[in-house]
Amino acid sequence: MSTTTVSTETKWWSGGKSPFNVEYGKLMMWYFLMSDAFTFGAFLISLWTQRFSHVSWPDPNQVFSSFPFMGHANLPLVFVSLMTFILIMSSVTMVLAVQAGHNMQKKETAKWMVWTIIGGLAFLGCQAWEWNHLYHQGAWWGSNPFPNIDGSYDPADTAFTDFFFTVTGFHGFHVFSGVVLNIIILINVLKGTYEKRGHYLMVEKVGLYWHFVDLVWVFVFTCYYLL
Amino acid sequence: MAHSAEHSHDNTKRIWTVFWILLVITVVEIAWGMKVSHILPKWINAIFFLTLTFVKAGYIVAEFMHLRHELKNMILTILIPLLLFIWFVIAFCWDGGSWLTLKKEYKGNNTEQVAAPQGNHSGGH
Repeated sequence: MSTTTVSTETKWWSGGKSPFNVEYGKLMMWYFLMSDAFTFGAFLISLWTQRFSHVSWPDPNQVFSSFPFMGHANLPLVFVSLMTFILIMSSVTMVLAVQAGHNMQKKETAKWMVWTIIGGLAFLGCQAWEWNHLYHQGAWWGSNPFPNIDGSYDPADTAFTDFFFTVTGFHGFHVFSGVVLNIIILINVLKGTYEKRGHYLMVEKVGLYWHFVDLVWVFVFTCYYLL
Repeated sequence: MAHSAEHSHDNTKRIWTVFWILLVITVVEIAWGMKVSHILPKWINAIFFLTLTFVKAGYIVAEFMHLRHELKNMILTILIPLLLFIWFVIAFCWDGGSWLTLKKEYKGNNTEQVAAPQGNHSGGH
């Protein structure tokens, strides 16, 4: 009797259980993501160091104003909004997959995982189009065709494009790895691995990674497209 | 059983609420970026966008990543190290700013800057 009361009041640090009430792999995923946040932070902060040291900087409304199949129509930020929407949406389907896993619903989990993977691929497709489009405008590492907002232009100054391709490329690589991980987990869900194991914690762990990718995009979006 | 089903229904509702919040914030940001940001001073835009960015980040971490529902000690081990970012951001942006100042000074006083150290050159060594 008395032991049950004690354990419901939970002395987390009395030993015999995880004091954080989190499974080991999930906790390590959190710490990995924390360190990854510093990696992305380093990229974005060095971008801002550069921006603060520049008199002027290209205007995102002018640089990112194209949309597939729309020719030369001037549609500032519309395409990147679509990419943002796709990523938020795939984050939602991921939460729904995690939730279905909690309730031990194999089919539901698989269904939402498939939608998440489709979302991830759609985002990567959009990014491929955007990179290709900018590349054909003459933008690449070491090559910046965009004049600054104040009208000045120095072709030798390629900080804008260097950082753009490095930061979005690193983020895109994360999305790509996330899609690969999601596919592996989906195969395991379909094989019934987690049903046999009795829990869908692996879905939760890749879910954390996937949300982190969305989280990073929120910051990339602000730093590169809005400010 | 009935209780857990009810619970999961509530969660699903919550997930969609968060989705709509994120979507509305993003739409507001884009509209502001397209229509409003040019006519306002930079610092107002910066505060506006950064605030909304952190609100979005908060919702993603707290709700989608479920951090809000973890134990407080665990949450703190994640969040306290992130405080390093305060130093990180201030130090490096400050550095960028001082670069700009140096560049401007050098450009403005080009001739004097070059001339001044030359006078003391032999004495210095």
